Amino acid sequence: MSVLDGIRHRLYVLWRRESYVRDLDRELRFHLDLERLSCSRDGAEARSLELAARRAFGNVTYYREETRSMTPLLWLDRVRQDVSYAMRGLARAPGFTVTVVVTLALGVGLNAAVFSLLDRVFVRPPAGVAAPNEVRRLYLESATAIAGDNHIFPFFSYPSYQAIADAFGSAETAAYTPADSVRPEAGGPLFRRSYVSANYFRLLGIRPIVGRTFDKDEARIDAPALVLVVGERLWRDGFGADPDIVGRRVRTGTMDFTIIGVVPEPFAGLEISAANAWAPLSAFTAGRISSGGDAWYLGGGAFLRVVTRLPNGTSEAELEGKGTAGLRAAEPLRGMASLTDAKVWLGSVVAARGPAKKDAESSISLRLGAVAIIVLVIACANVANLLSMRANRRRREIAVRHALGVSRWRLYEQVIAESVLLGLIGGLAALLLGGWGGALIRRLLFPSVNWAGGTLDVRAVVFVATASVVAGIIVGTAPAFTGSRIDIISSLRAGSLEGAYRRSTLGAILLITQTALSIILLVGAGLFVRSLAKVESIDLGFDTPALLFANLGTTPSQQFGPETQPAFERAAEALRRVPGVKATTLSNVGPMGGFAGSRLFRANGDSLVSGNGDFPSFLSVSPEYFSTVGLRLRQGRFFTAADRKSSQPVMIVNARMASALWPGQPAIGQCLVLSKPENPCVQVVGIVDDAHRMRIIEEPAKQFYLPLAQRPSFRAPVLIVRADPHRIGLVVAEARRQVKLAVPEAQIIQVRTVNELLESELHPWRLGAQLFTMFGVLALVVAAIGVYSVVAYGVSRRTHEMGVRVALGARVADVIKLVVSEGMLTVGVGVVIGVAGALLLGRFVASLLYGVTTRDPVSLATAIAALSLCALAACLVPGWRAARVDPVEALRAE
Amino acid sequence: MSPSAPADARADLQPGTLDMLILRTLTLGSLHGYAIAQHIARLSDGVLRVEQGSLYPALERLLNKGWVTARWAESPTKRQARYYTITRSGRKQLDEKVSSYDRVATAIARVMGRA
Repeated sequence: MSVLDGIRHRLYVLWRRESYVRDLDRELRFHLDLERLSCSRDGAEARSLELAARRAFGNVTYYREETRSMTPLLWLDRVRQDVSYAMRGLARAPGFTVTVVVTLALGVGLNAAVFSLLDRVFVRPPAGVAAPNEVRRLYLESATAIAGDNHIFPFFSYPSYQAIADAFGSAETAAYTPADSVRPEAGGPLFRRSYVSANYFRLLGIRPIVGRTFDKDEARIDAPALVLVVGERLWRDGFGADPDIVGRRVRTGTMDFTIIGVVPEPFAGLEISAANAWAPLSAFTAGRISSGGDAWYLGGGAFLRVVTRLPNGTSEAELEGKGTAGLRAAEPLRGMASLTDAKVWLGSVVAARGPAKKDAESSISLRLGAVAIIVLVIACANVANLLSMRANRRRREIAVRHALGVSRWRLYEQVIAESVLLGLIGGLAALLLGGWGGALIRRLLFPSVNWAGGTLDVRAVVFVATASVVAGIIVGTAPAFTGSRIDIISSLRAGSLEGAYRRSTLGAILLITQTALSIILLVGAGLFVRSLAKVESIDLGFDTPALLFANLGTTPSQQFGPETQPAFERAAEALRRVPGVKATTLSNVGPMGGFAGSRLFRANGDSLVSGNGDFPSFLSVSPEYFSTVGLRLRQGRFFTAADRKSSQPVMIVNARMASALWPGQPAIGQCLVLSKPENPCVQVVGIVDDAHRMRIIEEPAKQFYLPLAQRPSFRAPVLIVRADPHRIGLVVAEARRQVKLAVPEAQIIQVRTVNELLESELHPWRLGAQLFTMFGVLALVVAAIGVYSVVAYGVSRRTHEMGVRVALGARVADVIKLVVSEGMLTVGVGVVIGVAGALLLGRFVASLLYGVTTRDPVSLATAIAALSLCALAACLVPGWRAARVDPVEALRAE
Repeated sequence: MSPSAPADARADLQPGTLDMLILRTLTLGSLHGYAIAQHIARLSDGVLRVEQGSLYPALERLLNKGWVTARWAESPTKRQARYYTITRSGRKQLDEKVSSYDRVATAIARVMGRA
């Protein structure tokens, strides 16, 4: 109660300042009047009465001020005074102010942009989901399911999803695919379509605002249901919020979907990449078949993401145990490794927080966060340096003020006020920069991310405000510390116009910090750029820039089989005559498009062991395949037109398979039996180099090739074209035309270059290289400004000394050497610390690198050279100025 | 910077003591500043010499702490005056001050051989 009385009083005073001051005067007047009346009984005259009253009262002005100083008004006055003093000070030094504000804005603005990114990726659960903290994402751990990898991943095949769903019992599980993008034939906004199990919306607690979501009929996996639920935004933008949307048809590709409902904003799926349309899982496949020849949902292709809702009272470990047991008991799939060593893990529904291996984009954004903070620290160090130099330059002014009786604390307050003011102005600029920069980062680096909301939300603004004030206080504290520790005598000493020159330890420390951090960022940039270069230069076994391929898309109503092969051969023949085309060939799978599997036996009937994840896979190819894709022959021969269906079955193996199956023996002439032990033996006639099967980064795998004539593709073949890289665009169009001519009924013809295919895999590296380079250069520029300003300040303080040196016969080179060597010494210390820091911190980015160690000498040397050169340039300018000091001028200035 | 305060006023009374005297006076009822000053001067027979002005910073301090409240009201002379009233926490504070004062006073008296 009473505390409230006190607070109420203070608030009243602050709120009604004028009336409070008036009341105080009134009260004092009342007191004096009463006192005078009490004295008047003695019968004295008016003038002396007044004096007597005042004598009894004491110094009225003093007590009025004293009373006022008890109120919060005093504090308010002081702040106002400090702020206006700081503003005047900043306005007098516009160059300084602009430099500081820009530096802070870069540091804080970058952080704001990155903050909103991190917030979206790591903090916020998917929007629109009911009770998202109950929803768990499932992960699969398996050492053998993917060749050469041993880690946890969030993808499940349909059979394993089924096995887990059965094992989970009452805990419901839903499966979905990440969204793909399709443009409806009628035009309009892009559909980002995800295929989901029928219980998806129910599990996530999302109710339609129009129509319905999926029901039991659409739960059957073997009965493709071409229905679509669309998001509210798509409904508004694409269909003008048509209330009668249910029943409307949308044609995408070759599939005719019927819209059955609309789900409300802001739901956009569970991935960082937004979805706006959902179809039942059964439609995904419609007609697609697995590599084993069965319907897709019987095969082992793992592309489903699975979530569950944790029932009350069930622990994660319990469900994990059930799922693992169910998965291990499931029947192994044909041609796939068994899952006996598999393990099911539950993790947060926020994908980036997953239990182990993170998405490339989220790990990038985590590093981005660290980098952004480093840039902020560099910016702060730089600003602190500038402020401390300013404090030094104002030493004489401060000494005078101190001598006039301004308390040390008061001086300190003023420096802090100036810093906080700078921080706030910087923060304001940072908000603009962060809003703009954030939009830029989003557009350039993460175009597919489901942002849901503006670049800067309230939290980001609060973050910026806090960061800028904290930065202001931090950078203000250091110089205030040195600034208000004043030696009046030496500062005012006669003959020294600007006070004694003292080398600033603090400035040196800040400079060293900046240099060291810049080195760390530059080394990081170097490592990423080198990784990118290494990844780009990986020999995939193909002549990638020259290759493109064309294939037919399958739809529920349209599937193509081996009967299209003659048509494809005609198209290949026709394309060969097109200028810019160097060679064409057919294969069952496109380059980097995967592979087929088959059981294998040795000639004596022994089965080759499967299930260790490195089982030989094969491609069926035309004779010209090897010369077209650029695969080199090591031994033996390529296929020829003579390898027909009726002739001796032959195969070509890659180097890895040859050495693994027949170590120390010639592989040529060996033979293997495919599929069934009673089949005829297939003879090895050639050995070729290893080529990548699916990814840029993969372990070399055993692979063999069969003539397409002897082992036809069970689907339509893929047409592979080798073109002149400069004319590849024309060839792409021509390939599409020729395939259309050859197979006129085809509805979907996909033509892509291999480079396009690779780009998505290169993206994370490119992203890392771009970001680190961007921020590394930013840090370099900021550090160079820092070096320049420190050295230039030192020189300006020593004009007199330089004048004396020149007068005594110092040459230009001597003076420059003096100035530069002092600056570079500090920079050198920073470089050494920075290199040590880079080596130490390297392990945090090691997982993102390829082909370079964190001790990469090239990256280290480049970073050191870049920084040293910049620092040298920053020292030379003031050095040159010092050397040109006119001794007469310098000495006369005394 | 600051004009120096009248030396005798400060020497005679510590601010804490003045607070105690004001609170004690206000237990009689709501009073304006002048009445408080008169009361203290009268009861102490002029021994405790307080410059009347020093009352107002002390009152402001007590207001901030919430030990007294103030309101404008008409005085017997038909003029508006600011009346101060002690709050409950003000009374509690006064009790504490008085008891600690008693302890100190007794101790001093004992040391001086008067008790």
